[in-house]
Amino acid sequence: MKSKNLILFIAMFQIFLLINLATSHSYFISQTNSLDTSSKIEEKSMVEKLMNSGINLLVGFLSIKQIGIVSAEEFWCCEETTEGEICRDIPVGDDSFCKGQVWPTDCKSTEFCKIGTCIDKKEGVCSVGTLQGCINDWDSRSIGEVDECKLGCCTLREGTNKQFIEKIKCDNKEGSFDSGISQRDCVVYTEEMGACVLENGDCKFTTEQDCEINLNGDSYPRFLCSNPVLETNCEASKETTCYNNKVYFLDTCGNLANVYDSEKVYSDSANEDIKNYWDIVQEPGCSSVVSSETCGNCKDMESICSEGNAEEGSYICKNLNCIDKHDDNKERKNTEAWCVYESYVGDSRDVVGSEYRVRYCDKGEIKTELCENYRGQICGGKINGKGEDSFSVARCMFNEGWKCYQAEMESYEYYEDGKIINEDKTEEKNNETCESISSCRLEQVDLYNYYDFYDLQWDGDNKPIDLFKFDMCVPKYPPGLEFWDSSSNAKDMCGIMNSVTCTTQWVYWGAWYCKSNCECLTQEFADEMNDVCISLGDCGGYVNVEGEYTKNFKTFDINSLEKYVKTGGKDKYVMNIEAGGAGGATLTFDADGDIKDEDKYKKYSEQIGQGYPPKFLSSTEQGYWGGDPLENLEWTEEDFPNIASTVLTITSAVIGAVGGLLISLGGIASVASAVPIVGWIVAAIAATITVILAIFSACGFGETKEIVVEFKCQPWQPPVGGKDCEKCNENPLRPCTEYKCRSLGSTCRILEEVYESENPVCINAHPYESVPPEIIFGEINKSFYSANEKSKGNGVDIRTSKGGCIQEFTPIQFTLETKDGDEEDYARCVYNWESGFEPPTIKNDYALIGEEFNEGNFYSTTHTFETRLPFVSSLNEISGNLGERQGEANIYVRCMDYAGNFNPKEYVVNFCIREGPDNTAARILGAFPMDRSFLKYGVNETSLIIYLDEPAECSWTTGSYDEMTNFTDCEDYVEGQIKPKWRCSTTLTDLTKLTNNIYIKCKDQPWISEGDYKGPWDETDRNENAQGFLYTLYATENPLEIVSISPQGEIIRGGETSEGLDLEVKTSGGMKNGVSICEYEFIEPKLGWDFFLETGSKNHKQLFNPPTGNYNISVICKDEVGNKATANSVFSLIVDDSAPIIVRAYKDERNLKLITDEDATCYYGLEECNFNLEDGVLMTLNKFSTTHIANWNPGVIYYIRCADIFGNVNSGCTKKIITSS
Amino acid sequence: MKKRGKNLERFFNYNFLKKNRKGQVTIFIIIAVIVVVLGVLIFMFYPQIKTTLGFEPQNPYAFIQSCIEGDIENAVGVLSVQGGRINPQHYFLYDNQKLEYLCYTNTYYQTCVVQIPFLKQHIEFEIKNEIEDKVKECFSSLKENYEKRGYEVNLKKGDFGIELAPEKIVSEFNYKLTLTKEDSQTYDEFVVVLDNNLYELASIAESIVEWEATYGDSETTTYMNYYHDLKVEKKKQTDGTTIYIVTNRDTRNKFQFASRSVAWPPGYGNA
Repeated sequence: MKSKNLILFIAMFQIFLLINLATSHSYFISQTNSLDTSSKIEEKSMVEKLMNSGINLLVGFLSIKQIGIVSAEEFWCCEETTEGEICRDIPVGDDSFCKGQVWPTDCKSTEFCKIGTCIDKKEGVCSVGTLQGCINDWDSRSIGEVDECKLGCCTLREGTNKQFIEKIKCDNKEGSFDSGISQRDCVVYTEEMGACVLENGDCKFTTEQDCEINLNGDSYPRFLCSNPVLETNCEASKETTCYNNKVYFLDTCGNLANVYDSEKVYSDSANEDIKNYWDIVQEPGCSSVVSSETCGNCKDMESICSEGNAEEGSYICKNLNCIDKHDDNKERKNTEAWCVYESYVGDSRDVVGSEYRVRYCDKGEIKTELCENYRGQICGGKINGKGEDSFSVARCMFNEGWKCYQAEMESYEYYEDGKIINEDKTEEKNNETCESISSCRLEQVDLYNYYDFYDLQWDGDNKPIDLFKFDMCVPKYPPGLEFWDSSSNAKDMCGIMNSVTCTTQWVYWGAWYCKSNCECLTQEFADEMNDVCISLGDCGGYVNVEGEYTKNFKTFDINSLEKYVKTGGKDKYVMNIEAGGAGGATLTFDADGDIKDEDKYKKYSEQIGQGYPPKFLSSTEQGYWGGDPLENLEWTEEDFPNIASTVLTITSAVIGAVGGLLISLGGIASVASAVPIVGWIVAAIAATITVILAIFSACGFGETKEIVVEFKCQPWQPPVGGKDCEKCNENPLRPCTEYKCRSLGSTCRILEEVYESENPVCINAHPYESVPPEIIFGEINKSFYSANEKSKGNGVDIRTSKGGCIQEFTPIQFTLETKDGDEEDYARCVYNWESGFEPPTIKNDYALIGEEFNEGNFYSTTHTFETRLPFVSSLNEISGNLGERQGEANIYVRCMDYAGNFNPKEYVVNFCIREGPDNTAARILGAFPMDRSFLKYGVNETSLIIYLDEPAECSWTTGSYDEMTNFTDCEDYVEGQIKPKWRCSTTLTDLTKLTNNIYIKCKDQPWISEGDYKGPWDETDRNENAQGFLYTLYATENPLEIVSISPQGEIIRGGETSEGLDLEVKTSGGMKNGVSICEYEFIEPKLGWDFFLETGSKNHKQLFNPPTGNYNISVICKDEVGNKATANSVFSLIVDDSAPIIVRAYKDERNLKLITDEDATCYYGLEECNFNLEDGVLMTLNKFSTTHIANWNPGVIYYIRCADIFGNVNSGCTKKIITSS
Repeated sequence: MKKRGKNLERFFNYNFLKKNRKGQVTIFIIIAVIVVVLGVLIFMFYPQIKTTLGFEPQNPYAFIQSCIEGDIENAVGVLSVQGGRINPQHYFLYDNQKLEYLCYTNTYYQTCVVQIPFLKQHIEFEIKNEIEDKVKECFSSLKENYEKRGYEVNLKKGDFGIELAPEKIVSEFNYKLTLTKEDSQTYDEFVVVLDNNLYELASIAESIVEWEATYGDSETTTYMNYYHDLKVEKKKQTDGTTIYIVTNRDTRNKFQFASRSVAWPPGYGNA
């Protein structure tokens, strides 16, 4: 019993021990094996690659044109906002959210917001930053220019460790810095390593220096630790590891051996070849592979060492290449990149909503990146190599299309008001300039091909005259626009060409017949003009990515002609308008002309990637990163005032011709009277003709009229509805963007919840909308007018504030609003002065026929109407006596919302108009050039255009009001034509003062003075502003000059030109004492003009990194008013990378004297050649000289070493001199 | 019952046991193996489990490590996806996340102004701020722990620092702890090490910011050519902001931020 209990106890105790020993041993182990609390960083070579601020630039040369723009708007600078943003430009006076100091200038002009380099010397790091944001040392130079911040290879620990870091950090670590080694090469290779045999047979595979200095071992370079000759404890094994992106064998001690090759696995029976593979460092036995389980020689860039099922060991070469499932499973190499397009590209035919993307293979995965929205960036690609070695490269580049508008603006210097003012800028030269800009092309309108429709007239050189033709410099890849936003610049962008007009000539012979420029009445005119329109951006009649066309322009409609007859075998345009009357009419808004074939544009949405894809630019080429536009880019029609003058018109002097005929007939008659019988006959004929002509003249025959045909280019609007919205979400490799979504339909929107996310979703925001917009009256100036709204949606009566009729020709402005119940409803509205126009329906593609409100063709909730009321005499029903007559006029309004719903019953705005004198003089609304502008240097005359709020005759003077000169051309009032402004132009002369004050007076109602005026008013009722308008122009006092330009002459630099060379220019004079924008161009090779990196002030700078050679760089500087200065920088760049040579050595009295071939500093040593210069004895008195002296000691060997200014030194001795005894 | 009792008696019968010795050994071996395996499994997958068997309190270093590393990880996790800030002030909202602008300009066409120079130091500062209270708490807790165990504790408080190092985040605490009970032991230089690639990711981010500030854009594919385990994504937004997401493919650590430089409005004109 006792023994039983004992056994039981023993058993239980054993179990108890068993359980507790395991845990207690674990505990003891944890306590004795303390955590690695060492803060010492073990740097591994793989990790070293990851250190620090990135990459060795692919090339040393980058020409980035980030220049400051001349901004029309003024800014102040806020040091720091309440949100913590540093250096923010704020509107003048608005410092409500500024926490720090506010400075009364823009941030770019301040010192503390200038971008430079922050340096933390203690940490040994550099960062791009402003003085404001930098709490450490700050250097005004860019980070690439600061020596301490340059990246290079830092060798540490006697070569056992290499890191690609900044020089300052390398110095902190007491390493050896070399900026000439690339990041890729900044690694410790196994070829530099070898076996380091330690005591007890241990061995480590490391560098010679590490072995001898740190490990105190015996170094055997290029030997492997598994080499039996070394008698170490290390042997071959089958283990592998990753090193330098290849798979390497390891030996049993964990040391690297050679690259893994399954055929080189060691065994006792292995052949010599295999045994050797484990003895010394060798090149990989197998060829580089992309994917392999048997070979670890991973192909650079296409393969990576990675864990996997290898035949031996645990690592394989993993294929980094990709398979593109969207392109027939095409194989793409790792890092290969290519462009993805959504439509036809180039030729200014990119469809609305299309954008550029770059797709690339990233380690087995295909990624897509959108280049900038709205085609702000384009994608250029190319294929290097051929066949299997072909490699596609592509990248996003800034779209430099803005240069085309600039070129277009500058081209108008040559032709103004029919006069060539700058013969250097001929039309041919302008075209050359445009076509020399890589991102631009010339869009031409030339109706020559349609001459069959009308009679051509020819000049002496056999060229057709009176032919509508013009060119416009447009971008090859037009920008996308926010076409849905009325506050965007879409209207201005498209409106650039709206001042192009075509003036047709008409003559009355029983009906009005078109005499010249009649081709402008054809659909071909509309076609050609529309092609220009769509070249400007998302404008005009064009298609979206789905091929859906919408028309977005207004032009003359041939079908609105009364008759279209054939006369004399040729087609003639006939219009039945009232004979007589002065001036011309504009045919634009009376009708909706169209192009011939809308479907011709559909192909552009289908020909994806076809056309003229952008050219791939390497980072050394101009245009790689693009640049910001030079001028203030707020274009309006007024900025292109001269385009209208480019159209030649002929004043048909039919009456004059008749008169001449009469004179000549009279002359014949007087001659013929000397011969009695002949004279009678001739006289009779002449008399008969005279009578006939007189009758014709009395009937108005022979009268002429000019009618101006306009083409109004409008922002593109999407098709009505939202049937295509979902198509935006179909392709995951082309995520939807707001731009594309909006282009698919008027009701397409990005879902709010995923607006700023990786995958925006496009939906039809109004799928079931069926209620038309309700029109209600908005606002009017209640001080003068009252508006009595009829029952909702029916209309409104507008009267004076007292309920009476409004005086004729009064400018009037009011707004209408569109609503859906209580909510605002976005709609497009039009009006007509007559009722009954066809409403917008699906049959007519939702065409809104009528005049547009101020909002144009944008969808809006408020619609602004602005006009002058018509004269009573033009109304249909008039009552009262002359001078007191009155009548009523209506405008009929129709609106259509996003979904295509429109009000079936027109909204009627009724005016009661009375006759009455105009009591207010004309006002100047604007001027071009602007008031207080500068004149170009040496110029004492300029054209002037002013815009008035009513037709008037104007005159100007710089002196007395008694000596006023009339404006040469002022727009007349045209019956029925209501415009917001009228234009007067002239040439101002004799502007010889520094400050030229010009006084302008205008007299309104010019028609009163015309012979055929039949109204109740007379000359005394015309209003002239008593005080002249003051308009000031300043003269440029001094010409713009380039006062200095460098470099010039011979430039000698040392070693590799790793440091950049600055092209520096200083300017003075001109409009703002030297402030200008400068461009440069290399003459050889010709690369085209480019802006300085730093410009826009008096100092201009551009950094280069040119190789050795001769250079000639042209520089041109221009200021805002066109003052120009040019200069050239001519220099030779010589690289001195050779050490000084001693050309002569001799005894001079008691001295050893040496002469070198260049300025140098020489030292001598007495023991050996390889001495440090600092340890040698200095032989040069001044720091650098060609003469070097030392004491003459006979029988001594002088080991001489010399260094030139650039640090070139011989590796050994420059010379070894033995003095005679 | 009797039968059971008999069986039991039989079981503990010496002869019975003697005869079945092999079975005994087998059972012990099986039990031992199970216990060891369990112990190893627990030790591998629950390293935070501190043994409370034995008579010595937990090592102070281990205590601090376990107390603070979770907070450091949280802080790192938060600021990594917010552009290096715990509480972003000037940010872009992307996928419901606030991403700090590391480089920004509100204008068009111009390069941005670097908002946070020396990003690495800034991140270190942010982490330090975030865990400051917790550090005090941990050391107080350590002190209490030992005092409860009858030790005389002298804790000299000092400063602490965070350093981003290659593949690690190292936190050093200059606290000095002296424990006295029979004999005296001193612990100083407390260090907590966290495995994290934030150093590498922040370095890449700094480089990208440098390009954005100098040239207005950056070439992300170049980074991926040099750093094989990195993924750099660039997402353009409609207002001109670019979102950068730098991810380590192996660890899945991520650093993302926003930048706005050389933004172009639609159509080139002033918008």
